[in-house]
Amino acid sequence: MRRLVLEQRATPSRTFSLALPALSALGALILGSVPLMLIGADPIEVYRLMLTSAFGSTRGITDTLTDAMPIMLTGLAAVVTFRMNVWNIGAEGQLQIGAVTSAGVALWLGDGANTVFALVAMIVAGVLGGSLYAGLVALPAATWRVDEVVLTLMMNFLSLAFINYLVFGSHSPWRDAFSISFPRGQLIPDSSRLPDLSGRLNLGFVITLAVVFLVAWLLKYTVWGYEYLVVADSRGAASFAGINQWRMIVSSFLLSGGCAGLGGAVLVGGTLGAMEPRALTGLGFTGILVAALGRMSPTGVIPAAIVLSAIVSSGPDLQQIGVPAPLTVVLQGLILVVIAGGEFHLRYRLTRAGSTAQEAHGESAP
Amino acid sequence: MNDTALVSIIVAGLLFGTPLVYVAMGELVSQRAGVMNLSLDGIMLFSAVSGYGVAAETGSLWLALATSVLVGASISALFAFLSITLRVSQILAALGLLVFTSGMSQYLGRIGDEPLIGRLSGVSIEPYTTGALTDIPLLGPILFGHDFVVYGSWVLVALTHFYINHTEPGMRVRAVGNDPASAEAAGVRVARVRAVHVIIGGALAGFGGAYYSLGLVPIWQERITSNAGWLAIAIVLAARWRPLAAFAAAFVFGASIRLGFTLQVVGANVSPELLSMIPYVLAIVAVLLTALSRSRGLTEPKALGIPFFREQR
Amino acid sequence: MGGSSDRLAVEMTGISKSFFGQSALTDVDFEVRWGEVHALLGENGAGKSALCSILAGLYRADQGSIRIDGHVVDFRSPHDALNAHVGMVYQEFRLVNEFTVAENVVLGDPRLSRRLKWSEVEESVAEAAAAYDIDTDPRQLVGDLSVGERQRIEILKLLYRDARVLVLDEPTSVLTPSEVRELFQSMDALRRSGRAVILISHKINELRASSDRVTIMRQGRKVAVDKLDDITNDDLTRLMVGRKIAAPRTRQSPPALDRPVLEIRGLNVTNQDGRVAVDSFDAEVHEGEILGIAGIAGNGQRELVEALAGLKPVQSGTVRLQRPVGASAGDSAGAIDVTGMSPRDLIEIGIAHIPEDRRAVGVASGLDIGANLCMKSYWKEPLSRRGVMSRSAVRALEDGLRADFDIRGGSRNLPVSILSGGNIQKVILARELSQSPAVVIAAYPTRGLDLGAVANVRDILIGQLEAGTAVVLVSEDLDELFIMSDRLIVLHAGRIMGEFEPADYDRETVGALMSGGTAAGG
Repeated sequence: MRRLVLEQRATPSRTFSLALPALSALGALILGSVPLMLIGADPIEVYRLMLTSAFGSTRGITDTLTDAMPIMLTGLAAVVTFRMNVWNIGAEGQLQIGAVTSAGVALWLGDGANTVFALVAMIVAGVLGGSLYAGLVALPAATWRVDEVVLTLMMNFLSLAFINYLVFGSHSPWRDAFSISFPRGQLIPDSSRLPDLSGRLNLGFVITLAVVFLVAWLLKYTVWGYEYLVVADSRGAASFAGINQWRMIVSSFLLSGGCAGLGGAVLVGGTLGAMEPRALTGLGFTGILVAALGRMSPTGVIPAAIVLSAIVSSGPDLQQIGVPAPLTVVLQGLILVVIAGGEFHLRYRLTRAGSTAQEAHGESAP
Repeated sequence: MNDTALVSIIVAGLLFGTPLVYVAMGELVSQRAGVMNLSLDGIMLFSAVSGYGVAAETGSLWLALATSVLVGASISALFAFLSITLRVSQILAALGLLVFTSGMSQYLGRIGDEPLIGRLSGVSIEPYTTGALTDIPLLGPILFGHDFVVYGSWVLVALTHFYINHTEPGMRVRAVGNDPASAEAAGVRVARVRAVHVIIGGALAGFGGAYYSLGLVPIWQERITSNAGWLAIAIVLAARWRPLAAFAAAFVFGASIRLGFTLQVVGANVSPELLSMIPYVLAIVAVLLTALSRSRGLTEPKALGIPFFREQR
Repeated sequence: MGGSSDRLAVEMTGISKSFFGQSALTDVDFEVRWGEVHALLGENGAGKSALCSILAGLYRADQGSIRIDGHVVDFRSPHDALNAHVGMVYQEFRLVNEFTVAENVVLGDPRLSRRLKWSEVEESVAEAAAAYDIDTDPRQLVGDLSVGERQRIEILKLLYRDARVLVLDEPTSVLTPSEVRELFQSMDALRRSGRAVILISHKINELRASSDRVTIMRQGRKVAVDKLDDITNDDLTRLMVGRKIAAPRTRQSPPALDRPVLEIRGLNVTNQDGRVAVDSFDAEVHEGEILGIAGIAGNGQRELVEALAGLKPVQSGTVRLQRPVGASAGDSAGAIDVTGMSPRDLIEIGIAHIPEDRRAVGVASGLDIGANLCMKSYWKEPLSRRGVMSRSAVRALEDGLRADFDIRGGSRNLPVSILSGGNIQKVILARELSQSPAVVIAAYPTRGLDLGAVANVRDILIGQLEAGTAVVLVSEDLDELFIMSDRLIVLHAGRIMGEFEPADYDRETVGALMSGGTAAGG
């Protein structure tokens, strides 16, 4: 009998590529039933609750979409660098700094400012804040090839400490002295608040979608996007074609940080209305999951973020039926593990040794 | 700053550096074999809560430590399967396991009638009492009166250094991390060497995690490791994969973790939030400086992070 | 050694193997006796290396069986093969550059004690080296050794592990003629010690000088096995190629030697370790001329090519382009200094480059054919306008060049990596030549291609001369250089050793210069 052998696929399996996100979410839910059974909960019941709380009502849907906004943007931030094999895992910190700069500008402009101007200023400030914070890592990473994983990670810890300082610090002018039970920064003036669309869902969602499509267009249809794809595919070919890789690495970092920073701006200007450290943490890591679940495609982050948002925001409802909220974190981790495992199937397959399944192969030159 | 403050910073460096040493040595052997495991912090948390749970239920310290080590080894075995057997991106697989394990640590700490969070286990690693030796000025509190984990970490560093540089399996580790294709042609089983050292790395991280919940702060609290798993990775990088340098770095980082606390005790008027940045600023500076110093990179595993597939064409 | 003489050293039966669903070996039988040097002859891609990689445990056969000294074996890895005393010296050496000679020699040896005393290890390696008459310092870093030295360390490594069946994959391609003679002497010593040596080669005269028997392979199948004494060179060629190869097309018009295009003066380039790689290189290439650069790999060719293509900084010296793109032919006023220009600027003024590593540098292998074809012109109209790419223009470019250069296989949106080596090279040629370059720098343009594709690539390059293009052809294949070049420069250790006109092309003379000697009979 012929042995089973592992074979590399010439091209990734297309059907499986489309099915993989759904399959891995399913796989994660199945694996996630183990910790649930540990506490005697019925997994089916729990998952049904998660589904109805996320999509069962108009309010549920708008909440899910609202919470999908920031992770869509951090997911996009991850896609923009990961595709190029640059590992910016600092979307977390870039979002936080974006929140700081946008809140700062909103507070500085104060109440009297023109609404349109204030909104634009706040959003631009968030984008620039996140972008510049990413730039701090981009320069050493692109110039001296310093490991960007460690740097971006450490920057996350710094930015968290910084927003904690701004909100809790006894000398901080940004502290909201009146909010005692609920630590947060000063509320930003109404003129800088993004108008609501429906329920908690605000204009930020439209901006988010626009940015997602803008990045998708950049990658697919522009010269920058073409150069990006060449660098992503082969650094050797890129320098051969005269593409400045330093510029591409730095610009993708800046774009990535800008996306994450926008996430901070729409949170502060929309959902939160102020800096809230707890609501500004964990979004970067979830963004990495969004990117993986969206198959590293810019538009793929839209459905991926909505699915993950449904999981993440079900925490309080789970708590009500006695399931600890961190279950949502467990499920997120499982999704990434399963989807990473599934990648394997895209690139390799098990075949019987010697079965020469013909694929689209080029002929030898005559 | 007076002598007492200095000694207390050094002792804090020793204590808080100790778990870092275990994790860093684990990550060091794993990276020398060519595999970067970014899930360490999660592994530590998962191990810490598991060990604490076993300690609370059984009252046995040894059973608790064994559980932690086993949990660390199992998670990293899963990581080895994903990254070595299935050749999944090491970064994505590790981040997935990181999120999973940190989620599990919080979940496990909150379930049951008597959740581990806020419950005393009554078990902790006790320091040796060395009587008068501890009273020797300066050196006494630095060298004596610690627990076996602290002394064990010193032995571990010596062993790691010896293992990497002066043993036959250590030579294979270096070969596999540097040039897996050549190692394989010389008859080294690349996948096996990598998997074994990833698992050893995870076991050590598990032990380091257990030291938090059973030694340093013998209670369970979420995020008890305060990012030690990440600092360990920065330490390995800054030490350029050399065990002795990583040892020194671990203590500097250990001291830096407590520096903010110490400064407040001696009355420095700086916000605690800003002081908590010290270890991370230090990590960034250390990583930047070592990357800039152009030493001949013989200790750097050239194949770090690259999956090895023999029949790749 | 190795049991009674009637037992075969190696007996491979019915071996089949496929990669990517493409068959590399079909039902191959292969036998080697103890005490012989057995040549394995075939074109590139005939399956020689694949067969031997299976013998050495690197790959596993899909079907078939292997016996070593009469015993059935099933190698899952090189580890198993080495334990059965079978070892291979790969074409790209498998040595850890950051390790010392001693570390490399003993790596993976199961007889080592767990605790290593480096002085003892180094001593035992030195003893083994002395026993096999190999001159080496066990403490030296392998990364510091020359190519020939590395090859000897590879052989020492196998002998130290007590390998009795040794496979040498194209060992001479990196050696100078005198090093080749030494290698053949040590192969003879191995034969006399009763070992079995397998020599993979595609050069017939080498086999005559070294081997007892030859097995000939073609397109993944064994076609013949015979004693070398009983077979003529013509028969060997016919069996190896299997079809008549048309003689290379002759030149239509002679080069315009009065019109230089590229002038290189006193060029100095260092390699990545900062050592001199190209030493005061002077040359000029004329309109419609092919300037051949001969030399053994690693003698500065790579650095020379990369410096000319703007990929490597130039230490000193100048490169001038006499006829930049845009100026009309023969217009001498437009000469410009191109030294140290960026790759992009060099592309713009008409210096094209066929790189050595076609899969990793020549193409972005995960992108489709169209994306690869526009890699040297995408920033210009009509392919893009104001930063936005025109998909229809890219498609039109692809369709046009596909037809012009007869690129076969693949399709839109499929990665270029699924094309054959010959077609990938055509994609590169199409891209580079469609820019109507003034100069083409071609590094090993036919290496690893089958003979049909080789003829194709040569025809395309020669066809380019009619347009007045100047070609710099770097190759290690003297036959190719003699056929193609209008002039030939021999490079050794980064220096020009001699310059030849076609009338003086002589294998012995050129070979002697390549190895750093002086021209014979001079």
